[in-house]
Amino acid sequence: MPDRPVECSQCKKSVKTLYKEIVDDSILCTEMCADCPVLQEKLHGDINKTLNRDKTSELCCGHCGTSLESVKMGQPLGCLECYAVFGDFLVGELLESDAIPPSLKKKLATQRMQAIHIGKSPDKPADITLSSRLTSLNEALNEALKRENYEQAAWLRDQIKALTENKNAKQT
Amino acid sequence: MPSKPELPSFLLEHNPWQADKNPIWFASSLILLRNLARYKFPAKLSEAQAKSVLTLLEPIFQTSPLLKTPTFLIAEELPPLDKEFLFEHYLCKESFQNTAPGQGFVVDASGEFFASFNLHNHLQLQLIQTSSNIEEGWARLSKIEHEIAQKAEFAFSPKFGYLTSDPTQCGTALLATFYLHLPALNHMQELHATLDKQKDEDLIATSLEGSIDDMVGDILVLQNHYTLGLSEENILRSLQNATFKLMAAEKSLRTRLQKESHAALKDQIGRSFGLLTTAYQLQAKEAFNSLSLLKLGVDLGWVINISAEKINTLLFQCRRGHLAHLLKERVADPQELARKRAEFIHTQLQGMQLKE
Repeated sequence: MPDRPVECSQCKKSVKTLYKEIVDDSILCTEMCADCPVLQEKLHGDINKTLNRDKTSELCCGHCGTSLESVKMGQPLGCLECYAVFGDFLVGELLESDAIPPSLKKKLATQRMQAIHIGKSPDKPADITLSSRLTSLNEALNEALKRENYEQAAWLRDQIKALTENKNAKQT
Repeated sequence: MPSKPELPSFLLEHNPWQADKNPIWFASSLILLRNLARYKFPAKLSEAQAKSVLTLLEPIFQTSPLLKTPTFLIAEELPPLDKEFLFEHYLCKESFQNTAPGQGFVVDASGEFFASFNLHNHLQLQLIQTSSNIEEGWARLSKIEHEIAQKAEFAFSPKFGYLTSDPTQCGTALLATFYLHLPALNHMQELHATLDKQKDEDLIATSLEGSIDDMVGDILVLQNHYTLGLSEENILRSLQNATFKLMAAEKSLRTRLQKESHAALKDQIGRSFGLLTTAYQLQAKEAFNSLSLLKLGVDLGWVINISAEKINTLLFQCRRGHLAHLLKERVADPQELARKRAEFIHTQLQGMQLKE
């Protein structure tokens, strides 16, 4: 079974353009996302050669040698320093690629937030008491009742009952 | 030719899948990605450095009291079909066929825990579950993570959270995926409408192959959209909320179809029955889709003398890696494989009947 949907051959974004080139009797197929550098190259010629002649001044991570250009191409980051070196670019990229929840997007646009990460950290370890399945089931039950879908409500009620009985049995 | 080294026998016992009898909830998978602060990420790691990451991490797993018989496997030494078996068993999204030196895996006797080293990140911790008790699964996985964090420092920044080689996975670096078996909603064309009703931007709904327009085995895959900017608790809660609503919708639709004794659905289930019991050759996808309908038939009482567990097990066994291990031979020819698959399924479904 195929393991994942078709992706851009340069990065991991979803495919917008399928480029097929027929040379003699072979067909060359390239998958490209909307802002694929390969697509730009096919349309406008090799931009790197014409524009980025001064490659030496390009931003690079001093620790692992990863360049900003390769990060733009969707190549993996090379070390933890990369996050400091390319920090501003990464925030922009994460915003653009919809990798940050919309609720946080507005905050990020208006004020420069220090921390985007919410959740556990090494010094604040795993002690998360997850809101139990009961909360989720109750929410689903309320919604089903609101929609007057009594069939669904009945099933959810049974699940809640089974879960509470199970808990009580464990406690006693 | 004997293959070396072999997968531990406990994996071939097929836990936890063989005991999975849930009619709608299929499975969940929780993944935590972690990198070590002192090393470059795998993409920039030399072979020697990758091996020293392994040397550092492996003993922590081998001596962990939280794992049952932890077993370490070196990626390069595993035959391709064993890698495929792991890929299928742990519901992985990416195959392990292109492995490099310094990569490896740890499996344990529960069949639920899986760790991989030096693939995209130094460490990927995964827990698969057949029970819908996500609290328990999360507690177990984070305990294991905490144990490792005591012995190895993880790459972390207060701004970006846990740092991953792919910046879109940083933050919690938690990839949570729930698998739901929704044949009634799918075959009655109600899946899209049900999903639209409860649109949650924090989640992505796909099929096993990508788009929900192309469902395989009627299994809906729900996963978190964001790893950054949401807490682990929030991520799991929105998944859980959506899951219970979908399960309720599927369940009430099944009850209705059963009451109505829905003719078109009965026909589809009957055809699947015929295909699985008489086809000379069966492709994996074909088998998957038919087994899915058969499982629905069992739940509705229209197919008898077979258990839901058996069908859940067959959903794995009809895939190439599992089949090769069961047949104890490597079948290279696709036609021959389809034939062997059909034969195997025939023997497994013996005795099964359609209820008049």
